[in-house]
Amino acid sequence: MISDLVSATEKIMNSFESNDQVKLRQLSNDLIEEAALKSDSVLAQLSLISYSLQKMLSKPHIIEAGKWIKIKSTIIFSLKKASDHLKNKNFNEFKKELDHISDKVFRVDASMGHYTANLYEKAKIKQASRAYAFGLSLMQAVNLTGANEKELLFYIGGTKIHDKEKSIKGINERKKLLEGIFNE
Amino acid sequence: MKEKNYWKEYLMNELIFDSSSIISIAQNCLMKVLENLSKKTKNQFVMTKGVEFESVLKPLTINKFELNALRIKRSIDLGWFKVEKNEVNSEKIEELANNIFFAENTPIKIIHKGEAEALALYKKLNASVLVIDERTTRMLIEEPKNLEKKLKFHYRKKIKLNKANLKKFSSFVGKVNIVRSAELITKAFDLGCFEGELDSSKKSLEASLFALKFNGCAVSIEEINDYLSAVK
Repeated sequence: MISDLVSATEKIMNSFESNDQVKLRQLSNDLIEEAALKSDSVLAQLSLISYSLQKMLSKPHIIEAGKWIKIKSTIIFSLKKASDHLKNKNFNEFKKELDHISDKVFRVDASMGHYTANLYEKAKIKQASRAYAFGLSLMQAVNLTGANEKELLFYIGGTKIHDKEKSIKGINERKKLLEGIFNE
Repeated sequence: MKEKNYWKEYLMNELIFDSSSIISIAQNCLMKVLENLSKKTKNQFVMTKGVEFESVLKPLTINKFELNALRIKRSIDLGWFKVEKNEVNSEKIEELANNIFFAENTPIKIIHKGEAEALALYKKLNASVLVIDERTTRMLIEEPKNLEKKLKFHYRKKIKLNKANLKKFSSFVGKVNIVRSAELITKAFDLGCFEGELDSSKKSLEASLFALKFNGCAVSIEEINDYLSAVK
């Protein structure tokens, strides 16, 4: 378990350091799948961090800003620290460092981003939607990622998730059920 | 016949709402329609304290979400939506539901306390209907084999269904009548409950159904179009 987390943290760090957006996105997707299977919010947090870092790398107004080099090195330093804490089996410090990175990403986007909807919050919605698409319930996906339920519902409504899986009972059949209950 | 009508006056079915369905309805400004339906059919709409927390108390503290929360709160204040004040014990349902599917011998926690509580309240009150817009809880109850297929399709790890645990779950929850917000709104339309919010045209129904769908109700475009094709 700890070796998985160390490996995931280091892969995120290396991919971020080398600006490998494809790898960061792939890691993010793999981690949310694993998190959903294990109901593991730490793996989910790593997925959100990986997703957010990829998104940051894709935004010219962030990476071309003068302070980006410093921001990037701070995040890499934190990922390294997190990994070292895990290697020393200090899980609490590892989690604190992850929270610190999440907070850092949130604050960077809040100050440099163009949208009021924060990049880190978007990451929660996006990855919660994936967890829901895999088969977790809505609230389980919310609980795993910390996404807002209303925003997640709206996001899911804009996907084809519900069009790919037709319910065994259609509107008419369920409506008939209501008619029986309403004693019509 | 007279006796039937007499009882009908006093008959109050309880419909238990999961947070996903209330949020979809409120988000689309269809609370007035739901209120009309409640009054017209003399049914009691009920939510758990957990659902009240998720759909009212928590979003009331966030600017972005408080308007929707206020719409739902108003329905509670007016009394046509009731919050079940007693705690609902959902532990057994959670335990059973979350030990049905396994990935390499590890159980997959498929549903959360929120959905389990709604189901537990349905069982506790011997309610008539569970209104739920999200699809996993519904599939677990109505079509677990299809849920298994879905999990197998999406996950790279080997997924197994524990038939004995599924049987225990199904037997514990018993028969559950499930509808989505989409069916409630179509019924409301039939009963003239759009009055005061929308006109009673097919266009209003179409717009309402698609709005619910695009706000997360687990209904497909095909289902909506199939249904609308038969509406005059």
